[in-house]
Amino acid sequence: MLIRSRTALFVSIITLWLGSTALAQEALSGELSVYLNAYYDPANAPETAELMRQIAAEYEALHPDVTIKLVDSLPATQDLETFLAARMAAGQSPDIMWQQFSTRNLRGSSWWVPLNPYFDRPNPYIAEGTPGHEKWSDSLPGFVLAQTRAADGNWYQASLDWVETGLFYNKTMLDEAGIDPESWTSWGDFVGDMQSLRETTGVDPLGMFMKQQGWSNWWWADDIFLTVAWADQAESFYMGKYNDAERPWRQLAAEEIAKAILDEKLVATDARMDDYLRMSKEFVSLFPIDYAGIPSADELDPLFFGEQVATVWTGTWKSKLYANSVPFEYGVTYLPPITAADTPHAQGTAYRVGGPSSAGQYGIAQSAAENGKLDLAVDFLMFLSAPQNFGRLAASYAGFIPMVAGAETGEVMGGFQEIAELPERLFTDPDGRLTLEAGDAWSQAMQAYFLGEADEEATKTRLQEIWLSGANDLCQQQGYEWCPN
Amino acid sequence: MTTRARDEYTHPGVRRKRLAPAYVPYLFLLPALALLVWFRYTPAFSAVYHSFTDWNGSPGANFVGLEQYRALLQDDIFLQSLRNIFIYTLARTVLSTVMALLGAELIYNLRSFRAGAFWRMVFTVPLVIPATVIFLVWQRIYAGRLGLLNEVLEAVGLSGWVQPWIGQTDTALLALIMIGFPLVTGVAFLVLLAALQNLPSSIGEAALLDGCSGLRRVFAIDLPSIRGPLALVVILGVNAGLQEFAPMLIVTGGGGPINATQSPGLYLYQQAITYGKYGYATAIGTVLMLLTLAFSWFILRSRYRGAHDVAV
Amino acid sequence: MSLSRPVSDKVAVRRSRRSRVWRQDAPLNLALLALALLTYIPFGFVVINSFKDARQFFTQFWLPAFPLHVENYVKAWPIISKSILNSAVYSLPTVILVMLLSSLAGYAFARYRFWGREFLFLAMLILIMLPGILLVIPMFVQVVDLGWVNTPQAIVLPWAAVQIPFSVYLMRTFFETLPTEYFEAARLDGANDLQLFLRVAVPLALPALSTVGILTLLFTWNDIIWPLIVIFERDLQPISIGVLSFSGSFSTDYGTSFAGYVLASLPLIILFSFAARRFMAGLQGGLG
Repeated sequence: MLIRSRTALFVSIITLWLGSTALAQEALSGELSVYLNAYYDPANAPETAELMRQIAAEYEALHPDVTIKLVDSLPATQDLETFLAARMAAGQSPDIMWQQFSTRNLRGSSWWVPLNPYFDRPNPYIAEGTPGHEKWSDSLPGFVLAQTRAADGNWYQASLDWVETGLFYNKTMLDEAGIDPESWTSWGDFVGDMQSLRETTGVDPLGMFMKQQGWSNWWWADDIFLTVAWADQAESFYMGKYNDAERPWRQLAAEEIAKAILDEKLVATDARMDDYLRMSKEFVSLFPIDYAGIPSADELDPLFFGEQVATVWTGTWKSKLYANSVPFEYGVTYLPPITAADTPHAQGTAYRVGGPSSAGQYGIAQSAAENGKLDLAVDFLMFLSAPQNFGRLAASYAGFIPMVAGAETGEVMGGFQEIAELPERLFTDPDGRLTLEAGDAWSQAMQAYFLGEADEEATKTRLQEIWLSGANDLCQQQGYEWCPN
Repeated sequence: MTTRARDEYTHPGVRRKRLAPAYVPYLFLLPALALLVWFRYTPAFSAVYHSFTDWNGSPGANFVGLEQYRALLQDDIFLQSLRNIFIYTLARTVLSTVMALLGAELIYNLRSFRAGAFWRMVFTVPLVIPATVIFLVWQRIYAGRLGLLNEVLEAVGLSGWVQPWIGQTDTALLALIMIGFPLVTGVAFLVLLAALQNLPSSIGEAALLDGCSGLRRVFAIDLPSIRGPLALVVILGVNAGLQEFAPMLIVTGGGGPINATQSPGLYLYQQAITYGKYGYATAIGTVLMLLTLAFSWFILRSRYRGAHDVAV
Repeated sequence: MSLSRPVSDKVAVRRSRRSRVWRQDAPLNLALLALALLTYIPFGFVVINSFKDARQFFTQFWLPAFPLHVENYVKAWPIISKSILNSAVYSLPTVILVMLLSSLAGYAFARYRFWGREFLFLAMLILIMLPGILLVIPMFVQVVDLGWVNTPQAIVLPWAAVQIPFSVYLMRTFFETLPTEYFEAARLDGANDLQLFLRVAVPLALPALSTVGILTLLFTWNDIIWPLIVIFERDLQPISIGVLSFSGSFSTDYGTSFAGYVLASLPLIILFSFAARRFMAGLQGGLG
């Protein structure tokens, strides 16, 4: 009796010791439902979907007791949001699920499993010698990890790919107007050229739009102008806990923005914001007349294709469509460097507006953990993120740039290399700065300013209110130790 | 004349004597009520209950009393959304009822039975187009550049009228009201046409004998005779109008510009689904329901005034 | 119509009557034609754009473009045809259930006096006024608790519950307009309550019932959110989700999408043209 229990104890100790490594791997079994957005969308990207089926089959071959159930992609609209809200409320989400990373602060661990402990583990599917083999997170670049970290310090998603953005322009039209994007050395050059383009051709220079709720490509411009206004203050906003020796210049975390606001270092009524407002308004004056009524980026395509706008600022996900269907010669350029002559605090550069708002941002639903599928979900996510697998998928879809070390970038980067060399923007999109609501309120305040319903002073006052209430909301949600009571 | 026609033909359900046992009507009602209790009342009570909590969509919520309602009354966007939706509902209900009635009367007055059947089908078929497609097409009709409306205005020499219909605060709501014009097709049209065609033909003949025809007959006889269905159409219009959120969400990019087309239904949706504030959203929903009820009450009362004779 | 004319004149009479009818109807037909043309604008653009590829679609939305891309239909057909069959499985029981339950209830409200009648009626009407999105999450939790995910009843019963309140209102309103003599005659013949309902009320209420049926069918054909949430298997999804297949997260195949919308509407168009005839026949038989 005694001996037997001792043996049992011994066995269980051994099992525990091995548990996190070899034995756990062999024990994987069950069905895992996986939603991969564009990487599994049989109706719209059949070849990529077929490849994904093959990758899933390879995984099943390694783990014979596992079934991977791929869930067809839905349009990323209100339908998907409602679908997810209901599924999450009832604990019925796909086990591995895509969601726009900007919701990470709001949904956090009420929907998603924090991935931090797993990011520290070795990824057995990454070959020895490739970053990530010993520590999974090493396979992702530091700036991606920093930008996708939630306000509570956790990672809820593995963001495996990236959207780069650029200004696609109608080459013929610019040539005819005598405009060369290469010649832009300052904001002033750019605005001058764009205004003369409208005068000579009658065409709207910038294919941009602005929504009062949610993303519009105007957000990208807002990021840049806000960055320009505060770039020289970045040092004083940075908090030690987010610093990274390899990246002295980096994007602000939500916590840093909130603290800077509450410490009264970042103030919207500051004189710096005058230039922010002025440049924003100059930029918006180059948009089509109904910029505030265009409901989606897709609706810019008829304008660009139909030669009603000379340029459109969009991302790599459009590369394929444009290459196949634009009926004229086009090129990809970017906003000019913004110099001290344009505005006193400028650093003489433009900022790269790219991000992980792409198809490869996957989290593990809390319900997967409740149903005992956490180990399996983590293991499959590790498998999927290994360069030999995710690299193939990204190359096949060719809409996003894979971020995992060892994966080939492929043709999708054509025309974007120079843009990718630019520094990051200090501020991310309005919805990621503090809270989603503060982001939408920001859009509405700026819309009121552009449409002439609020003057400069009133707008600055309103923006400051939004910052304060957003910072306080974030404090209330996250309970940072420095927060005022 | 009109009074007699109404009493005799619209509400002739006068019964002198009840022969059935008392439980019979309840048996008729039981299946419908059971289904409604199961899939409407239960979730509805759950929703109203949550308006007194801080529920965020995950399990567990704290009771906060009237806090959500207090916050709602101080929310400028919500108050603006109420203003918008009153205008929208009033205009949209009047417009769609008048247009549906116009279509139904035109068909009702046809002599040819076949032509009547043909036109009914013609105006029923467009109902198969899903709302999402209607929104996509209309949003392109209103587009500033390449938009059909502006192109037509240019073509007929009215280029002064060209404007960003859904991109400015003064026309955006109007643009939403006019979506789907001429609005003949739809529930209202089907209900009103069925009601008119259900009128005993003796009414029309009697009217003709009295020398009452054309528009006079429409107002003197048709409208009073179909008062019940008309009330239904108006209630449905008010009801759909007050709850409307899809065109605001899809066509004007989330209620813009600057909340010029924000509606309580959309605001509810945004709070619940986008911001995860279900407690607040359910409070909006409850207020919206009470408002709809209040509006419908006036219409219902007029319906009951005409229908009291049923309950002999 | 007078029947006292000699038989030999009948053809001539009919002919002259037809031309008189045509002349009298002409202004009405013209007005209806104008309304119809405006009504069909969106439909026209859906058809036009269903034959375009991406370049044609983005370059010119309002006019037809050549060559016509018939392959959009070929591409859409496999997914659309499968989901049309699924939709039939969900929609037909819903339509039948709504017609049955709402005519029963509407009949009770219209033709009986009973304790609590107006209270129950108002309680039912309140349900029309509930914002639907509010109930989605609690209802889905119910469906999950019942273990009904991926089953037809998870769609049919909640759909029917959505449609019943105003269908009852509609049926009550119509039953109230029926001449009471029909019922009295049948009652004198010894019909019981159920027979009165089935043999007198239902045949007379065909126009209203067809309206209820059409509206329910349309609702079930186009509702996206509920099936999206309760049906997990793509192979079991109804047509409203099927037509979304061609809009991806980051790219939409508009030509194929529109071809899908055209295909998705065909069964209803055929049904409506058939039902319109039946409806008219019912009307004639009942009241003509």
